[in-house]
Amino acid sequence: MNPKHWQQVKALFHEASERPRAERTAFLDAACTGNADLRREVESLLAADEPEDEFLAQPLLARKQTPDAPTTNLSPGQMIGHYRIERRLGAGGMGVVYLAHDTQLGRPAAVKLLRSSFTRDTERVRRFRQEARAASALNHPNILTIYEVGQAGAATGGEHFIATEFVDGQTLREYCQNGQLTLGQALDVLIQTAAALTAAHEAGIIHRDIKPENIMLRRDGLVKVLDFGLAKLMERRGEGETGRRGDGEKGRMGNTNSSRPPVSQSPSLPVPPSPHPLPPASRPLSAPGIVMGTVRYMSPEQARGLEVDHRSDLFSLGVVIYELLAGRAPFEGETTADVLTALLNSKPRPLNDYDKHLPAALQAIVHRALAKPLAERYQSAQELGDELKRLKEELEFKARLKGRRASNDSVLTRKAGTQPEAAAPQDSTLQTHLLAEQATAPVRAVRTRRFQHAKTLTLATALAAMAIAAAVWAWRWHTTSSAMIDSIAVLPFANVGNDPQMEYLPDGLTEALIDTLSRLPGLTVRARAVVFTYKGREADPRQVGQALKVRAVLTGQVRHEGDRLIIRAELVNAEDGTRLWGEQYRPPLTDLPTIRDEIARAISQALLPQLSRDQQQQLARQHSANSEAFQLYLRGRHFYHLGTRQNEEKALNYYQQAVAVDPNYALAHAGIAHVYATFSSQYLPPGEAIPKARRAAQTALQLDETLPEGHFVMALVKLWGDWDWDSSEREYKRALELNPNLILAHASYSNFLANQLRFAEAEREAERVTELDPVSAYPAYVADNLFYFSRQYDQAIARLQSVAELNPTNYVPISYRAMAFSQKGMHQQAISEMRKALALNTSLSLRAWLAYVQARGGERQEAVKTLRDLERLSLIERVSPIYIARIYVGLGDKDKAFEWLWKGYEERNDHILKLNVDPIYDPLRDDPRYAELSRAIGFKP
Amino acid sequence: MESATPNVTQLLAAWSEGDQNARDELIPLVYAELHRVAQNYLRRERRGHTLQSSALVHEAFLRLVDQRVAWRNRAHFFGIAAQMMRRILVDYARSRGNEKHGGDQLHLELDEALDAAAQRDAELVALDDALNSLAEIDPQQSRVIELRYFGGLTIEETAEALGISDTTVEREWRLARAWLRRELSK
Repeated sequence: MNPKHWQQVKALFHEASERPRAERTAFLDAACTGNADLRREVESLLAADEPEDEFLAQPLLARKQTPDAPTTNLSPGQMIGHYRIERRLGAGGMGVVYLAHDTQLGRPAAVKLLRSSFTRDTERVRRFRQEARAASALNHPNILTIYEVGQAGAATGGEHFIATEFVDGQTLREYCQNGQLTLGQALDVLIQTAAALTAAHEAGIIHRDIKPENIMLRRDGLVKVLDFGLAKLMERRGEGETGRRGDGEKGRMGNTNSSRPPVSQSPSLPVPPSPHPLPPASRPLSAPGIVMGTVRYMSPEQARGLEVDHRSDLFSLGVVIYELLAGRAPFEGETTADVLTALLNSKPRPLNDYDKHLPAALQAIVHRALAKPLAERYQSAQELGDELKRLKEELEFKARLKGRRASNDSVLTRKAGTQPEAAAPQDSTLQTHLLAEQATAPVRAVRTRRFQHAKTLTLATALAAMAIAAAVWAWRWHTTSSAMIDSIAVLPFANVGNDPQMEYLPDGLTEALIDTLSRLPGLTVRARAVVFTYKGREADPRQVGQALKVRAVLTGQVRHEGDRLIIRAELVNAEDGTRLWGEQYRPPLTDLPTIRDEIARAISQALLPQLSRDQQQQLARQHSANSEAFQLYLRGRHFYHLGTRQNEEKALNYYQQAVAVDPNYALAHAGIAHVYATFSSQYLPPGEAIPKARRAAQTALQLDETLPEGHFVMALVKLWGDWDWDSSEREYKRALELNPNLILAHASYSNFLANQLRFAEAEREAERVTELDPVSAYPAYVADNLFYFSRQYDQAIARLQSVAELNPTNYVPISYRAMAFSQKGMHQQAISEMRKALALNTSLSLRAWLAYVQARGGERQEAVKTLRDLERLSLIERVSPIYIARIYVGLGDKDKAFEWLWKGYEERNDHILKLNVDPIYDPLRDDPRYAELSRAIGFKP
Repeated sequence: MESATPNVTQLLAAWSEGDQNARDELIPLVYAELHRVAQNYLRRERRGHTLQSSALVHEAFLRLVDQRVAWRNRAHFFGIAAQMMRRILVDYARSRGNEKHGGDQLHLELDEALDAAAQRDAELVALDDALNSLAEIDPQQSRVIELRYFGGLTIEETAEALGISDTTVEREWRLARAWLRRELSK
């Protein structure tokens, strides 16, 4: 069809389609005279024009999977189980709600039929029923009672339904649309809602969908919270359904009456209607193919699709509070996307922007309920409910006082508690009282005597002080005692109170102490991986000492108390269990002026005059004096150790935040360099990752030339980025000279040596790694891989077998074992081992390895399929060219193998540095192209 | 945070300045992001977390939004999302039709992630072909369908994304649907 023709067709179609059908023929007769083709085209399009049709009408991802069963419309008199339907009350996102009569117990009930799209998955239904049963066990006046969760005519696969108590009232949403709540009434509703949540949370049930539509006000003022746990059913099912939740949910469970129920009039709170109808019920918000239910009330963690706990409900209740008071939602936007952006990134406007008369305490409550970090939020519904109650009592008390003193009740009471400047002297007292109440923070424990005069410590200072004290102690022992303390294990600090949000801190502190102590010459410090096997365990220092072969054990705990941390540390002689040193620190969480030097001097004078000031400063310098930066760094470390790309990216983010706060934080710069170096070749093209790694490593070393981690990452940059073997080796050596305990550097250096076929030296480094960390998998396979690389396959298989048995979830030893099998020609074992590894980690690298062993083991077709996948994927996603080269090597296609190896060479992919050592390349070695490539990489011939 | 696809921001900026090449470069990056998100979700799924296509797109979206671009026009983002969804959904619908993928991890991942959407593979593939034919005759109409059907955009958003009036979108939408319905019933 030529464009001109199409334009004609278009114009005629539009014109014709806007006319009544009857007139169209005449119109086309006139318009298409003599052009039969044109007319046929337009007519056939008009015939296919069905504007009301469903075709393409619903966006793909939001589309219902199949239409709902027609039986969702029940007529009066019909039976569902033993419930006789009386009339339809309304329809919600999950299904239609009916008023019914319970014929067995002779009472009214509300029956909700669940949409079939929610219930098609039997496993999901099973889980849902389990949850609903748990919820039905909740017996609380503020929770809608569930009578039954059942299936009508279960034998024939009939509808699932929920029968509940019938409530004569309105939802909070409707109530607010029809009228207004006074402040007192609003508080009353919120207090009852918090009570419902308290009961449910104590029973381990999370609501997940707290919003005004799910809070029902009975005519007598009693609040009923609906649909506990039902959100769970929605969560995992048809996106389109979720999208329409909240839309037109006029008749939620049990709601019939449109007259306003008199919300419990708090007797002593004659507050006139304070004026905030809620905005209309949430509309389905538009978004790219996904519509997210009531995003407006979601907590940030819920919106991110993470697991939620009870504190998510508290956030949602916070949104409800805000909306009740401000008359609008805290996070607003025209589309889901806009709402989400606001939810995740912005702070809501202060309530007083909307109403100057609102009590300040209310602002504080809302602020805390809507805190994005879980740790800053209310930790229980009880806590939130108590604060609301306290506030309400305050206001009532004030209102009474005012009522006695003033003639114009209503004006004064409306302002009660909100305008101290207009208040009489009594009010000041009240205000003070109120403030005192607000400030009820956890009671501060009496300070330890030791620090009564001391200024407060920053976290970093405390850490430095602790490290110095412990190190100094070890040093003195080292120099003065016959029983030399030349080894120490720092056990993971306990997280007292088990606040999960605080977890990074004790772990981070432990690691930082290990780092710091590791730098003392002559002291062996057990590696992180070793000591973390003791995490969360009470251990006898003497047994630990024996197990880890150390002479001293440092234990500690961290507790969070108000705005402070309480850190205790104790050093114990592992031989006799005697306490060698102990200290308690109480640094504030927030940053405070550092008094590190003062403390350090005090401790060193008390403990050890021998250690020179230089040595002390050296130890202290590693970490930032800025408490915030230090904490950010610790968080980064925490995520880095969790592994996986996602966590590593989080780590990077925290390191970057740390250097933003303290640009002179050398260790954090080294952390950034390490993440980028790790990402290079694997996830990012080297050309992109290495310059960033290099910049960060350079900065780290400019800030502190003696930072071992700085030299270590520089070694990686020199090797992986520049393929400059000599410079890299110098950096490795410098790092290990500065910190002989730097385990990663030993391991990485061992690899470096193996790549140059310097096996004896590589073995020595690997042994050192094993010495420092005798228990975990990583050092073990660093050592045992050497057998594979030196072509001693039987040893490799045997050794890696035991490593794999000890670490069944670690895929690395398994994959190397598979490679050793493959080199031995035991292809079936190779394939089955590699599949095991792949089941533990689905990385592209392992897929390529599997294809390699398959290609060699006669499963060429499978290998080719993976190859095609990777090639296709490489057009749109980062795929290391070396992965593809490996498969071609396995398939015996030398041309292609070299082609992809050269691609790897061109982007300076560090995987190619294994060219000389990895047995898989053996078949290529006679080829002249091999020598050329090897030379280009910088291998000495 | 420096994302794994750090040039997304620049590309988006370039695109909102009208650089069409930037868009072409951008889509694979977003695709990669989605793929990665799908893998992450799959991992979580193993640990008993939820996996659903909305969450998938949602997270990819959040990652992009987190770039803190000054969104001059959110329709631009949705426009990308639409193309991206079309491409992903159709690609996988096609690949499922073409081969058995019993042990194929990549396919399994995306299949699971996109289960709800990808179930009507054949229809989807046919629709995609028809859309391609439509694009040859009338690229704008094809785009309207893509934005609305694959991207879930409203009439107004589609108008914004394409820089045309609401009325035009409505007219194009109507004719395009008729054209596709006819094409698909052939």
